[in-house]
Amino acid sequence: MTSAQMNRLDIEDFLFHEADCLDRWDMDAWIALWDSGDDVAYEVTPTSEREVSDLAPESTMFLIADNRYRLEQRMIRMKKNSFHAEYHRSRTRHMYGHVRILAQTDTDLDISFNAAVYRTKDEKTVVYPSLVRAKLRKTPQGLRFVKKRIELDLERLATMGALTILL
Amino acid sequence: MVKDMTITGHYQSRYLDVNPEKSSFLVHRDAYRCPEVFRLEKEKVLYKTWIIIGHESEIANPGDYIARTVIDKDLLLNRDRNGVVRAFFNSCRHRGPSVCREKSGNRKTFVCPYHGWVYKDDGTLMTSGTPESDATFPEGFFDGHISLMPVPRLESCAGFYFVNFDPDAPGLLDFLEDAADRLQLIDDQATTGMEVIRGVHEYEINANYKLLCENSYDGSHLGPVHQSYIEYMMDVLKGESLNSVGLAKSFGGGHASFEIWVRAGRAVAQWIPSMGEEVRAEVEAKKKEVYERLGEERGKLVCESHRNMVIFPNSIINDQQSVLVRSIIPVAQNKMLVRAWTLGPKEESPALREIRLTNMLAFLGPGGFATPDDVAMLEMAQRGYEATDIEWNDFSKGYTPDEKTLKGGVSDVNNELQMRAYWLQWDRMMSA
Repeated sequence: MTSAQMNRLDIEDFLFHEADCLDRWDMDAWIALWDSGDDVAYEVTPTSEREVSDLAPESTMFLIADNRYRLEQRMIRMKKNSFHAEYHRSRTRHMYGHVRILAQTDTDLDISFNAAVYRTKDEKTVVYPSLVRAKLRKTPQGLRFVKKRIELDLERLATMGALTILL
Repeated sequence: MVKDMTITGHYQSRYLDVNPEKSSFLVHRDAYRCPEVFRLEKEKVLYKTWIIIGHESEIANPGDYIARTVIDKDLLLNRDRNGVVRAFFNSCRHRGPSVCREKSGNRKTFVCPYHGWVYKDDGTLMTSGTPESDATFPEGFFDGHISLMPVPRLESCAGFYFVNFDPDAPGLLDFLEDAADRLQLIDDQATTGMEVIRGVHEYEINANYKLLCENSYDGSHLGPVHQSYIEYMMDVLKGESLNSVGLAKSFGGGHASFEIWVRAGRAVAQWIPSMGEEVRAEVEAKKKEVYERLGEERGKLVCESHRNMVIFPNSIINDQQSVLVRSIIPVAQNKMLVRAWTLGPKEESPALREIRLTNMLAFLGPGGFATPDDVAMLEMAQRGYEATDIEWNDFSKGYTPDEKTLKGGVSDVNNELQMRAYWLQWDRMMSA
């Protein structure tokens, strides 16, 4: 276990690598950046709510609320030719900024950052602006996501109505 | 013509070409692609039918209100201080702005932010803001004869509130015909009432709104379009059979459903191992309660079947792992905005509520494992209508000359009875 204190540059290096995996559609590399524990969560908040900080997928209908199992299944689906919604695949650019370390222990980090994800498909481009809150774990293999929660600024999913890329 | 709910003789209109003797049922693609048809459709269909605006749980207490768009009109639905439920157009009678900028809340008055006109919760205009200002208006201006404009018709069935913009339309229950009982099946899931769960999916699809209606109870697209979801479910069920039998049924008035009997799990109330041991007792107790209250036959229908219904012309109700209502706003002939919201029993435990939501999210919704593939197909179909010269869509699958197409029809779920029922009603209203 790496218990050394980490700084923002360490976190940014990790996040920029994650963004690169997503933009290259390297799903195997991306899922490898996740912890294997039971507490894994990938969440996208619903666009219908303005105040989302207190919302939990146990009692509110989110856009996406994956645990480790469903996230793996999502990866499997994303690699299939029968994934019609991404045939052809969207091109994405994940832009991350304003990275903050909110809390840090020997094992875990709570971070937040701003994200603007550009998605281009069928001659259209849309932007998904969000605040991302994440929990990272320090492991012998390096940093791993335990939780990634995307709090979307959008008021609805317009132009491309299905959210079939990873934010 | 339609006799005893069955089409007799070769019928042709601008939109339909139905030949029962040849088992042929065709719909013209102008119904999906032509701006002029869409304009006509608003006048003849969308403004003359009953459209869901919300659920009673959203306005449970005096003062509760919701502000919502139905078709293309901004409305307010509220319960006034005396408990009366009302629907208004959300626009000040003075100069136009909305009198309520929140999506929901609780208030005794609605105040226009522009010049300060104040309306009581029963809609009547109380004051222009101050006694000095009121004194400059004509005598009797504030005696209650001016009001927010009420929506012509408002009625409810099984907890769902519907509006109709046609003052002369038949009543809601006459309109719903046998679909009313299917709505009641949802209310029957709870002993303390159903409630709308927080969080709404709002997403646009670049396709005619009728395509989503068709898709919602189309049995034969499941295999080709949802192969990857079915493979996911096979993994979830770990060897349990996904075998299903299903029937399409027509209820009259263009309403129809498919009903599938499959052990895919329901919060009310079909426990399967993948839901987890921790909720088994609750689900099985719920099932027992439903069976005792409704009897074996109806209890089984509530707990064991998965049902997708279209209430003509634009309300879709998926009654499966959870209850998902899709209220469609038709934006243009080739664009819709979907507003999808979900319901569960008020008495449900937090553990089961979580399972309800996560199981449903895996399938339905713009981030699920199935809905996005439907959206892709709908948009491709729309493109096919607009970018080619082909005139007719084929809805002949399973059509027989004696089919009771409009009402009382029963067919295999993989046939297209349900769409034929829809289109027959649509054509009746459009050709009138």
